[in-house]
Amino acid sequence: MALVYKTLGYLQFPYLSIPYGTGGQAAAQGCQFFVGRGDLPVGAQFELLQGFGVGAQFNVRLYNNTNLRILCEFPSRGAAVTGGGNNAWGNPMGRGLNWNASTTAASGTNSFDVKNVNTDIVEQLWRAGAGVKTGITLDCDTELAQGISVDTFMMKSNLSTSATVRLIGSTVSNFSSVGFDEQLGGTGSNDDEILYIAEDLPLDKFRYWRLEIADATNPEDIEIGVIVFGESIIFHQECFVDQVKLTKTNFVDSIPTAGFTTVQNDRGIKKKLNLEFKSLDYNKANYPAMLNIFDFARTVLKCLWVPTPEYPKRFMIFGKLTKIPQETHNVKARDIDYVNFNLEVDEAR
Amino acid sequence: MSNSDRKQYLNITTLDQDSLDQMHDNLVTKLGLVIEIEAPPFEEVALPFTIISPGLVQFTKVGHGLETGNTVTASSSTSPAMDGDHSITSFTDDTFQLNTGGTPAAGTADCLSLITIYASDENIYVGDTFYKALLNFPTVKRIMGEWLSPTLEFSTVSISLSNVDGSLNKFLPGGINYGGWFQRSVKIRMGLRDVASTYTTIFSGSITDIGGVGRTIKSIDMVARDDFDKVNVSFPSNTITTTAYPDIEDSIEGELKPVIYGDWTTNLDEKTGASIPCLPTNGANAGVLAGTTNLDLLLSDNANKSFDIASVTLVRSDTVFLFNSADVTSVSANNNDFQLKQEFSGGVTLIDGVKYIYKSGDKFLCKMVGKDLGGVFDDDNIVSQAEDIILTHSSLTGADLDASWATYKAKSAPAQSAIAGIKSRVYVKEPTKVITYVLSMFEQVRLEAFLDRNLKLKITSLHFEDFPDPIPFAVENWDIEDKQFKPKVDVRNNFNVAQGLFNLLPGTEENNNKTPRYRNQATIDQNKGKTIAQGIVFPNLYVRADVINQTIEILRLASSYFEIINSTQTWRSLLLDIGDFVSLNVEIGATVFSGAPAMIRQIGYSPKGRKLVLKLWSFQMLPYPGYNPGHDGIVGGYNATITEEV
Repeated sequence: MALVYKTLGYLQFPYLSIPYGTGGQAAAQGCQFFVGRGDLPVGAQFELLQGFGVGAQFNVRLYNNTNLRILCEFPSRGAAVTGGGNNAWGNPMGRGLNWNASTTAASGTNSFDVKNVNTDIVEQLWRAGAGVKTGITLDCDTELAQGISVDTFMMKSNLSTSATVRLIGSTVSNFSSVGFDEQLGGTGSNDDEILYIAEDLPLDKFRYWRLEIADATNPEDIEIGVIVFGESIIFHQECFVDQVKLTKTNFVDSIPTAGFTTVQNDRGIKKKLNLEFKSLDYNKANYPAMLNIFDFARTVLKCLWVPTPEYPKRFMIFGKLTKIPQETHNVKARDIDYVNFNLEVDEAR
Repeated sequence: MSNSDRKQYLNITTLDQDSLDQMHDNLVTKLGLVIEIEAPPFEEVALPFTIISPGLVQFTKVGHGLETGNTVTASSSTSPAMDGDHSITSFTDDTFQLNTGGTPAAGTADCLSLITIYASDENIYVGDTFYKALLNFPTVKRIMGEWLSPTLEFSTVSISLSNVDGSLNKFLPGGINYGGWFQRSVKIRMGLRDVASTYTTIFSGSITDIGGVGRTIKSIDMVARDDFDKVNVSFPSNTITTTAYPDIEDSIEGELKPVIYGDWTTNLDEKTGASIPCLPTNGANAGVLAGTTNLDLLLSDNANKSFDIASVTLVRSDTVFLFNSADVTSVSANNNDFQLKQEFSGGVTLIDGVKYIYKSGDKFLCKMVGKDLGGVFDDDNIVSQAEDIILTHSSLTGADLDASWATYKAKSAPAQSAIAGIKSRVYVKEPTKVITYVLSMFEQVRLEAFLDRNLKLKITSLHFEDFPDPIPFAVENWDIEDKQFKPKVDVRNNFNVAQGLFNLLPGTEENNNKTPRYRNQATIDQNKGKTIAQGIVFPNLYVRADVINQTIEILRLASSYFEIINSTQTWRSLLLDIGDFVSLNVEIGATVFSGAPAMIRQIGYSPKGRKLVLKLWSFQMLPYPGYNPGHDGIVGGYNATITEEV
């Protein structure tokens, strides 16, 4: 089941309620744009997709890099359908075999295959060949002819703070021409994640994406646990309240002993994030977007949640909803309905 | 500020007692449990292939399920250059390409790709292998059987692999790789973190036909039994058939050919003078019944060292007759069958004044020496005989036996424990489990066998002089899980009077001899005159002095007051093994043990907390060389006074 993108509505002249451009132009397209009200900045961008003789067709998106964003679908993992022939690397389409690495560590059980970057299991790794620290490329064929644009990118790895990572988008599989080129930099000192949030709505789409990695001083072999990128669902105007609860859970097996001590087996630390939403307007786009996520990801799919894209690593979490939240509706009238709920995302599920 | 490493578990790369102790100082470790399950393979016979380019061939098989990285073992009668292991370089849903290296011509090949499921209770790399979180482990146990009740308990493990996502459907009925699961191997290993060299196999077995493999809507369930199921086989296994012996009598057809070891020329039935039965194998032959044809007689399935032609005895209606050795003929080179001349085939032996003619129901006995073990040890050596039984009648090999076999085979002192000098013999005709029989042999000389942590069959002893001093591993309160230290009296193995019954003779199927009754008077006095008597059976021993020695030593053990302690201990005890001793320094409520020796009888590996579930045999009240408890009320042990009843 894919995400459902709802149109904003279709009206015929003279029933447009808010003047925009010219009434004749909007009515001819059969659509209405609602981008804000009063003095509030809206940051709306419009992407021109296709032109027809009868007029223009617009993909309308409100974009910001300040509010909560959730990446639920991962075109970085290739196409959704099977039976479509082979991708650029000679592998069957739709099987999650859409990455090609310039180097891979030897394993008698094929345990470091580059396909591992496509799993939700962050512990399952792609590992570079022993000692290969520079000149590493990981190429992704999204298996989508029209390509994808990337406004959110996340990679979990063991790269050092001095690593350089370059993300390239291209329409050709040999990357002889480059349409997108972004230096992602190192991982920072305190975690193992690289995050990229586009400053502006990316307007170009590319089928092929490449990561160029160099990390000459890393004492370990280069490893990547997961890579996801694509277009996020982005909240605008409304957001979660400022009381964000972040919990780290140390998973241990404990043996309380007869010696008044507890002996333990450490199995790792995982994060949990609680976000509270208050008074989301039932009639605005954020609430339906969240419902859309609940229906799509449910409590079974991991999504990338970035509550604060301006300082993304602070609360970023790649996890599942622990449960679909209970909604409390403050219903005053049919069109006056404000929704409260708390949600919890757990990366250990 | 201290700069000591308090998280050694993240850096240590060897797993020994020192490293476990270090980690225990900080009360934390990181131990992993992983499982490898052999799944039904991809297997195709005479699969056509085409040549894509030199060294690259393509097979077409709809829904083959293989992927890049899989290895295919190919063999081709039409194109030998295909033979060998080749990796898949690319594939589609219906084709796969192999890099053959050589340049085969197009043809057909038999293809086999082994598939192993790597799983764990967490997502973890061990070495260069990734184990996916697919199951919760059960407790895996290894057990030494009850003393004086020789059984080896086998570990059985029930595994439930998560299949909620259907990723294992290909191995189930209707799936691409569905095939037989029985006898597929299962290995469970435990070790430190991702350090492959620290992982040891705590279970190695195969999926059984009992329980086997099943499925639920969210799992594949399977039952595996450890590899030592191989010794859970019966012997003898060869039967007397009409195919091999067309003139066999109905009453003998289907009987098993006996297995014989040791010296059967001495300490025999006084009445018959011989004890090894000889089975007539042509008793229904008309010539035999007419006395014109020699009677064929079979001793054993195995070849024997010698056969005494002057010892062949007839038992007819409780009357015993000795055959003239001149009538014993055609003795086989293996000394396991011969012929007997009759009245009209040249026989001279008179039975009640008449030359002998076979009658159905006649019984024959003889003296002989069983299988020639051909080694440096005596054919009478009980450990050598046990070893040969295992290697001959089960699928174990010498590599499955621990070095302790050689040690105990050669043990020559003190006298009561000198295995090399204790004489044993074996006659088995009824179906008997190999391991049960071997454990029974060992019990008679105070040895026990168990599967050690290297999954080899190992021998340990209950010889006082073998008990360790000092004991290197001390168990303290903080090694024991709260509320999981439970002592109880070992009622079964506490007795103060014993008598040995020995020398089981196949002719009579009874133990032919008894020792005097022996008693530990101090124990009896301690129990206000209460005697607890036990008969101890030594069917394989036939030398009186040997049996008396063993009876006295067993009584010294059993009259000392044993306790069994069920204890759950932390992972600091991980490297302990069955048969190891620990020194109990435990004071929990009313249970006080101060330096008390205890022998481990059972080990279980519990996945929750990576803890050890142990069954200990406390020797708190059992003095042995180097251990003198110093408690009041010591009545048993190596220096206990055992007296013969008069």
